[in-house]
Amino acid sequence: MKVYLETKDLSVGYGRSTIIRHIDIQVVKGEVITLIGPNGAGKSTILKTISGQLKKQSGEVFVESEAIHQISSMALAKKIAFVSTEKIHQDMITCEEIVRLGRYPHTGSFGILTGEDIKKAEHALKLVNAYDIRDKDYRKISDGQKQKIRIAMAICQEPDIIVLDEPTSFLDIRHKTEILEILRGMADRGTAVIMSLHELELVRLVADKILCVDDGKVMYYGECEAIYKDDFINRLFHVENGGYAPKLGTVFMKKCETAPKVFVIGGNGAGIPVYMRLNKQKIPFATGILQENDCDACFAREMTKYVVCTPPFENASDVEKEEALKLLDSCDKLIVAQQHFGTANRINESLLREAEKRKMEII
Amino acid sequence: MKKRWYVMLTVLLAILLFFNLYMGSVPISIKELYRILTGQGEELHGQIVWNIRLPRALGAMLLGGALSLSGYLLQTFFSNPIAGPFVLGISHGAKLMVALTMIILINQGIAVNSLTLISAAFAGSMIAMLFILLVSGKVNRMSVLVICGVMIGYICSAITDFIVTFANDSNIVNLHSWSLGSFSGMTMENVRIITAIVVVCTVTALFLSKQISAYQLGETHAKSLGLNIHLFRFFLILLSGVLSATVTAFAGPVSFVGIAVPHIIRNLFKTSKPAVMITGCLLGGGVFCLFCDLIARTVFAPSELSISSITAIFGAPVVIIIMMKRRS
Repeated sequence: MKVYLETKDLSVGYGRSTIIRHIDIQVVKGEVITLIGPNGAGKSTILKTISGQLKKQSGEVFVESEAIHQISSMALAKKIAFVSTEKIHQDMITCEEIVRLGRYPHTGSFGILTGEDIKKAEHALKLVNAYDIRDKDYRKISDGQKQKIRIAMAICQEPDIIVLDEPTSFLDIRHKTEILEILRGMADRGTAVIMSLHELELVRLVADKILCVDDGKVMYYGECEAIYKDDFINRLFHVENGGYAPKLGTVFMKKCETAPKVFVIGGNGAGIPVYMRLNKQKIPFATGILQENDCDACFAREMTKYVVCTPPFENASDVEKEEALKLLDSCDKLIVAQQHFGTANRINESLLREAEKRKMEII
Repeated sequence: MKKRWYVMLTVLLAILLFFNLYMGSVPISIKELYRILTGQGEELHGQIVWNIRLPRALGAMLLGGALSLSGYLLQTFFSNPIAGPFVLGISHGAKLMVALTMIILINQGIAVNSLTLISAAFAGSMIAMLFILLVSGKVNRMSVLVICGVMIGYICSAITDFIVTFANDSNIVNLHSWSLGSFSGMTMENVRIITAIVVVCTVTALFLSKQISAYQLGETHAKSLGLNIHLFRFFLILLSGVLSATVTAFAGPVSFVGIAVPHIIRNLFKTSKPAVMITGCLLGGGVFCLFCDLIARTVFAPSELSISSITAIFGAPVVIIIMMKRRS
């Protein structure tokens, strides 16, 4: 595939202060590139620079092998659209009027729309599922709808690259996924999408390539899945305890590392709500005896270091039983998350009996 | 819907134009007015209508339109609904320079012509504008900007008063009433110049309407759409400066028209389309100033109120309404 946009040893920043140096990326039409990194790392600055909103500090941005600052603003608007988070304060303007303004670089000096321009605006409104609100006053629609209208305006511009700064921030889950679907669809139809996202679980759903920035430099640029290995993300965001669990695709609060006070008998996902509640209340807990491949085990490991597990599809051996009993001894409460014990789960039933013998509080 | 309001404003304009010719301290009957306008009628009354009332009415109408348009362009520039040449002190800057120029030229025995006055007013507007731009570069909050503008206005007014007080010439009497704002003393020659400037500015503004529509969305959106922000801003400032300078050169500072009229027009037409706003402001400003000048001339005739007192009574509440709406 032909490289459409390319940066060569690009440095970006505001005024005299450089925020990120040595950016070398290549963008091909039809791919989604996502920028991730801590707040203030310079994601927006990169996006603004490669879309021509901000002057580069050094290095170069090439669009179709032409240096970006040599392209006239109108010609550039036909190639790149930037969807900013800037609020539109104008009152008395309908959604449709805003979307139609997307035709700006294509219309004549009076901005008069042709029948084709109007059709394209209509098409853009339909693409973002906002055709039914086209006559509404822009200021009176919800934030999610506003974002869709801004994207529709960019679509209407018919750019080869659409650049978005945190398009999903502050939106509800429905609008988040809806917008990402729209953007993925655009990429599949041949537009390059470059955006910053904060929701790591969403990044994985749409991104082809990832650009990680932190500490004034590019930390990683490449395939999406590579960042979901080990603790790369937690290192990127400087999280030491808790944070993002790549296997589960979700985030956790800090682990309680003091000696456990509560023992939870979990299994088959039944333990998760209990773990969550204990972790929230900062009550240290131990859990067992789980099979390694049980989802309870995956979750529990993110919230406590006291998890007693057997290898997948193996019965518990004496070693694990002993370990569990030892933990049980240090606890003064037992929570049984299971309704009843299956035949392969006699071991946990025996733990319950032990607890009864020790006259522990059982819930 | 939009057509209806255009027709309505035009009809209002015609009615007010008629009343401005008809009413005044010298009573002239409708029949006689008709005869005068068709080229007959009595000599003295003819003079009153042709040389005093008509130029004044036309001047008020055109300058009202110019003020509203200037206000609209400034509101666009600052994306601030209560910006206008008067609250931002631009009119006062123009006033100061005009007063200064007049006094210097009169003292040297040089006749003052309209173009000199307009140029002086334009220079004054631009100086005041420069200050406002410096402030808006640092803080771009609606309230701060307006407060600074009002303060610049006060400073300019104070200096003007100072100059006027110490200048000893009988012409200063005129200067004094002018410095409060008035459409009196308008001549047909003035009207011709005003017409030329207003027509040129309106056409230029209409040519900019595509750019305005993009700029209204905000700087980054406009840039993304391909608007050359710096060039556009330069034109916007130039245009609004020329318009408000023209008004100040001929009628002194006139308050609130620049804020009230664009707001009313936007609410009547229920749109922010630049082409509609530009033409609407022109018509609406004419109607508003003809109406206010009629009151200024006739309510306490033969003594005259300053035009700004009347425009403030009708215009200032609009500003309060805008502020309250913004809060909620």
